Amino acid sequence: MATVEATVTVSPATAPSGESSKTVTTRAPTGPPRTPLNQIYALPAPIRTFPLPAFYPNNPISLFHLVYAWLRQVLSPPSAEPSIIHIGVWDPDTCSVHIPDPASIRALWEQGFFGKGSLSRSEPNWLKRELARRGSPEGKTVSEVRTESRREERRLAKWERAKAELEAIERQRLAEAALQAPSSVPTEPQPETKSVPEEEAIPAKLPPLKLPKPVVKSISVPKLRNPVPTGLPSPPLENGVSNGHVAHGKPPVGPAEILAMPNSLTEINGPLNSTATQLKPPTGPAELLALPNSTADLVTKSGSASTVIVSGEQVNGVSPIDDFNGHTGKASAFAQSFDDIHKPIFPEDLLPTPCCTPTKRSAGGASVQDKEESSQPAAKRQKSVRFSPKVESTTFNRGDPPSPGLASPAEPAATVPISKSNNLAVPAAALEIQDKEHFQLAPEEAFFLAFSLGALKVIDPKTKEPISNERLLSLFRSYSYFPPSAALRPDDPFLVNYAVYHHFRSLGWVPRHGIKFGVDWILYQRGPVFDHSEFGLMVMPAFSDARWKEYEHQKPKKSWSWLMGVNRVLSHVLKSLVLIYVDVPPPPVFDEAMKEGGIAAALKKYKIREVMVRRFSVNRNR
Amino acid sequence: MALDDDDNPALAAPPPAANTTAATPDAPAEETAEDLLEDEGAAAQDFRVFATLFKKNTHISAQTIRKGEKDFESHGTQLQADTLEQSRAAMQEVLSYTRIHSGANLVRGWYFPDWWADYEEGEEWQDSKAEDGKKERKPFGHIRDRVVILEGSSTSTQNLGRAVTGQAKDRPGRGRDWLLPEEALYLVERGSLDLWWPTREFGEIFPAPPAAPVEGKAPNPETTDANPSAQQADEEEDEEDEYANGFPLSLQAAYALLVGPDDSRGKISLQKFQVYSNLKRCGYNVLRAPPNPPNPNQSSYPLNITIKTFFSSLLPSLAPSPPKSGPLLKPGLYRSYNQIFAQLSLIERHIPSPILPSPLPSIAPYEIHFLVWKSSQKWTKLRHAAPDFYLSVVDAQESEVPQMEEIFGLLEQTPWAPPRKEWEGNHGRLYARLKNGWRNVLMAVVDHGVINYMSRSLQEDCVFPYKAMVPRD
Repeated sequence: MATVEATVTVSPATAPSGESSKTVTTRAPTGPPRTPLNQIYALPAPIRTFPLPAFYPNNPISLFHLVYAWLRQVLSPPSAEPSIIHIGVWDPDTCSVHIPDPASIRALWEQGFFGKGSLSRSEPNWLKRELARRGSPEGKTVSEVRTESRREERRLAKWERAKAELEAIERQRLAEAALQAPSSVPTEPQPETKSVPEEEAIPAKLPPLKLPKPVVKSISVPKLRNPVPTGLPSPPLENGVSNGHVAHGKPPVGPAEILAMPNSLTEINGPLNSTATQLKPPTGPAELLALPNSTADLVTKSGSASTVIVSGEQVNGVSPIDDFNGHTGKASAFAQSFDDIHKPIFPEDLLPTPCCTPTKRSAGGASVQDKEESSQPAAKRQKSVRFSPKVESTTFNRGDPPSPGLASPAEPAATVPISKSNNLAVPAAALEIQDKEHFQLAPEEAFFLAFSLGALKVIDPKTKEPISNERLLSLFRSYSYFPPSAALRPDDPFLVNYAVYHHFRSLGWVPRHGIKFGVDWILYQRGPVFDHSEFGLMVMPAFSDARWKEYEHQKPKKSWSWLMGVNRVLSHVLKSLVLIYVDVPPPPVFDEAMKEGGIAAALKKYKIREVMVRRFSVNRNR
Repeated sequence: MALDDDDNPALAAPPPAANTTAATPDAPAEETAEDLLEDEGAAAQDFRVFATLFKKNTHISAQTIRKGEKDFESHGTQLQADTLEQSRAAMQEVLSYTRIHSGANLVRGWYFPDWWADYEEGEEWQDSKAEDGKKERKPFGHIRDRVVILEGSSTSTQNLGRAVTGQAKDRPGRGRDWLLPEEALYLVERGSLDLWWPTREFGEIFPAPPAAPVEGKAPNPETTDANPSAQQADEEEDEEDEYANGFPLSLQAAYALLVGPDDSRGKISLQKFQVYSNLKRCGYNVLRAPPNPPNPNQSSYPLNITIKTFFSSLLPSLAPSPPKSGPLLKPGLYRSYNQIFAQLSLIERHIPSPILPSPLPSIAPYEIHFLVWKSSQKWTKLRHAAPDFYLSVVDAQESEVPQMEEIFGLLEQTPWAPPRKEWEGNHGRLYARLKNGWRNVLMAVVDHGVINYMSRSLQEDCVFPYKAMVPRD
């Protein structure tokens, strides 16, 4: 014990150097070769073991190895484990134990997955995230960011699915329209005549689509205009008209122009078409617009069409529609000439963005991205990239002005993201970010570390004195009520929960608080880094002892709907529900054990039994 | 594409590219979606599937049917309209089907609630001889609760009912099958049983065997129909004859007679009947559980487990107790985590064992009510293997999630069902092992007629997974 005390004083200062080599390697993750997780998280508890090397009878050298290792451990014994005692400060406000020392934080997280960062989901990585957000090369692979990007991907996939569905519907409708009669064609004579050359350029892949393709264009045009009117009905329309006129006013210089034609033409026809769409019969394209989802899809669809036609380079070769491939080839050939045309149009087109930008955002679902901006704008912003050159040029940040187009109207589109990220990256490098996150241990975790392993000292925030384990226990017990109560009983929420925590910790599991999944604990086999937790635990105190009748206690009356709800949520995240029945000893038994054998003896009086609950499908088990 | 955060992954639309042109949707995705839909119990009826089942010339193949995706609004394509119209036509066809009760499937049953009221239970299930001379224990019969006697038999009554053996030879109605209330009600609901209320004595309807060995003088409409020579005069007689012994009961009357509180003889609670009929309709074989199930825990098992537990109970007492205020772990040098975790273990592990020294009694609503078998050809009502599931029925409104004594009282009524041997070991299937548990019980929670089945398993053996955490190199 004396050695332990001695190390206490030393540890905060010397912890980085005094720790085992494994943790040291982990603390320098900057190098390109990443340390494997197995090494970083090798220890299941903040205690090192010194296994003797194995002796193989057929290999005599191994005997020497064994003897050498043994002799070395005898002659210069490593410090008794736990060699490092971490320091924590009790915080009554948040009812948790704060760990100030960064070395302790890493050690506690890596050796047994204790605690959580106050600003993070679990692993304290706010600093990394912040650095990444500001453009520093560090901390790209933080789990929160990965989750975010996965969500983004999923959103994108969903959106694409919806888009494909809508396209299918549209194609079907067009096919039907083509089959029906030529009566629908005369309603729109203009686009058809105009787009005849374009149609020849397109390789005919879909026979039913070939004829009505101009109709597609005409549909897509009001889309481009229409998202604008959704926000503000009248003024953007006028803009559209003016834009269309500007575009049309340009003299036709090259073939790129012909490709650009339908676009500009539709821009001319924009207002006309938008009025026409409202009047059209349901078989026409107006129906598309009437669909609730359509605005988003329409934006993209029109965007895709226009992008492909307009510039093959910017598409990054990701064009979803194969039919346009021939088209893109041609377009890229004329990309240069197009740019000349495009540039004058573009900023003006961008000008009405005050209403255009928000719609783009909602369409892309891009409102939540803040972490990695400059590094992979394409990956995150695929939607926008794909469908509109304007949006590719603008990456949105939370702090950005509502319309970046207004901020830099004169800038060429492609340079915008680079310059922006540069502007941001420079201050990020210069700025020293202060880590604003602290690390907190739940009372159960803190008590396990202090009482069971002896690897933690909890300090009273007022007196700055270490708290003894007995006092710590009564402190945690009283704080498990709200407001903290002095009447302590064996069925305190803290004691019951700690019994469960200790039980599973001592069996080698990694329990963590499961409030995110609506349960009391979730159980990892090795830890959150390695695997998903397989079980969600619900703690059910039980009072089976007859002596409990003399004492007032509340039975945990849980309704079936509660159980079904918990089970439903858990099965949705692919976990199994386990009910943990904790048989609580009656007060006299508990108090006597506490008096005689201390905390350990009192805890021994608790009994734990587990019941797993699963849904049973009648149709599956037949 | 099925996304994992869709409301129900399998309900998500299949890849739209596949079914855009109403070509062939990929079959496997379809199947899984269907499975999950069934699982959810929320499957919208697709009448086209149904139509193809019983009529071959509908020209609709079940393959073309998209499940799991709902078109909520019309998008104006002819295809959608056609699909809708097709489905409507199929529904029309299904609903317009005339349902016929063929005589072969229809059996008449008489309601005699008090015939077996004085029957002494427990005799038959102890030991009775089967017909072929082998000594066999018959499943418990619940004879006192059997209230409906069958006049004949049909395919639907094959696995229901029970003839009460060991009766005097001259006892009336000897050898006939008697139904439990849930069996009778289930048959009435299905339309394969005609339940009648007797207006005469039992002996008059079912006279003692010597008079008519098999058929009895029962007013069987078929036999009386076969006899007469002069038609018109006899028709009146037939009618008189037909209602001379009693009159038929409606479905409502059957419910009123057969459904009642749990403790009344010859009735069954509504919740249990709902579960019973649901399982029967799903193809399971269901029997009422005997009130005292043959205790599977008294079977002979090797003693070594108790010896082991005995020694393991000795071991901790030898170990020195930790200091009063901790830490549990003595500071020192450790060679392996086994030592560490052994010192940490405080709370007694309940080690599952096939033998229960003092099995807990089951507490009121949490009892085994039904024994359930998966459907199989071999199953007969008298000869079958051990049940696949032990089912307890509780009312969601009347009861709560069971307390510890209640759930373990229930679990200990079920036999020892340990996980498979091959799952054990270091490289075994830890999760499969844990999820199997050691004893299993099925609970049907009935909430106003909505049944929710939950399987509960005792899961006591938390192996030491930290072995996996020791670095491997």
